[in-house]
Amino acid sequence: MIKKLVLVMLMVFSAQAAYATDLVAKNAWVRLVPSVAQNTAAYMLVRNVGADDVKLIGVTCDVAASADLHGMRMDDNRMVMFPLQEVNVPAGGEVAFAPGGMHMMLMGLKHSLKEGDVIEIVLHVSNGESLAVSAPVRDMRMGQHRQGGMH
Amino acid sequence: MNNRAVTKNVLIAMAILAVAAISIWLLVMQKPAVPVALQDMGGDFQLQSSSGPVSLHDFRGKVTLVYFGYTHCPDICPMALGVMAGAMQQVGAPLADKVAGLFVSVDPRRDTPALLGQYASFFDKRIVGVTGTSQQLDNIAAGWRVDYAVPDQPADTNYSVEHSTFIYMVNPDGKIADLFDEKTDPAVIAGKMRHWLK
Repeated sequence: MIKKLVLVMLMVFSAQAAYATDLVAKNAWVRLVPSVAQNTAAYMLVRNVGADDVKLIGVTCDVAASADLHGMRMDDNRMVMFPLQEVNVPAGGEVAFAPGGMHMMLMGLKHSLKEGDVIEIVLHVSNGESLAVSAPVRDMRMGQHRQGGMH
Repeated sequence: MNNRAVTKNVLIAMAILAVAAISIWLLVMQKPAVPVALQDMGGDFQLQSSSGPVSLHDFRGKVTLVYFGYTHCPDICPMALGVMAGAMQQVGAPLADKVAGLFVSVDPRRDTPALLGQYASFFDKRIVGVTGTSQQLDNIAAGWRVDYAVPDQPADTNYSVEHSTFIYMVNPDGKIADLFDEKTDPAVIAGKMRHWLK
């Protein structure tokens, strides 16, 4: 009886919760910035392979004092960036964090980054779970900005 | 001199004239022009770099790419500076000293000339980082139609600066001749820069 109850509870719970393990991050990278720069951005494609929407509610990174999910829009000719409280990754869908668009802003870098360093980015999901993503630092000078972009 | 010699000389003279006329015509036709829409934009200015004052007119004779941004910008500014550096490099070695770049910070509260020098030269040694007082920057912004807003927050906070995202191409006469942005292919910019350096 108890076993059955636990099973039912598990089923109910799994039907409502959207797990971080349903998320697959691809093509993650961090932009190499000058050693004097305080901030940089991380980019990746986040795919939800589960049956329920997953809400990203934040991001952390141990090389940055703080990190935000960031949106970007153009107001006339003016580029405006703003923190996002949450980003919904629809069931079976994907969300792109890419240059010139939505990105993960890493603020207050604790040390300067080098090309090839691998940074751990932790995505936080609304049910309290998290997903660690390894993101190599890429040097995008010489107009290589199209790699991993969404143009 | 016989008739045949005269005819020959006349023909040679006509040929030289024709070549000269065609050359002049080609030169006139190929000289790029400043688009009417950009003719009222821009203007000279002087700002501070890590090695002293820098004026736009210091770059006469060169094609200069100018971008207005700030170093705390994590995404668009490094993209734009990467595109500028790529374009400058693609112009090619024979014209390497005929191209220049200026990164103007509209956030002087956080971006000192010393910091800007290190930041800008990371992308290309020929890109000079400059800034000035808010009043100077406002005056330049008005002439160059730069739209920006720095929030009234202390320098040690992580505020974002809203700003327009044009990469201005300034011709060897100091006039704005074209506008690009961080999405423009550096090869396209390099081609337009070379046009002005013929």
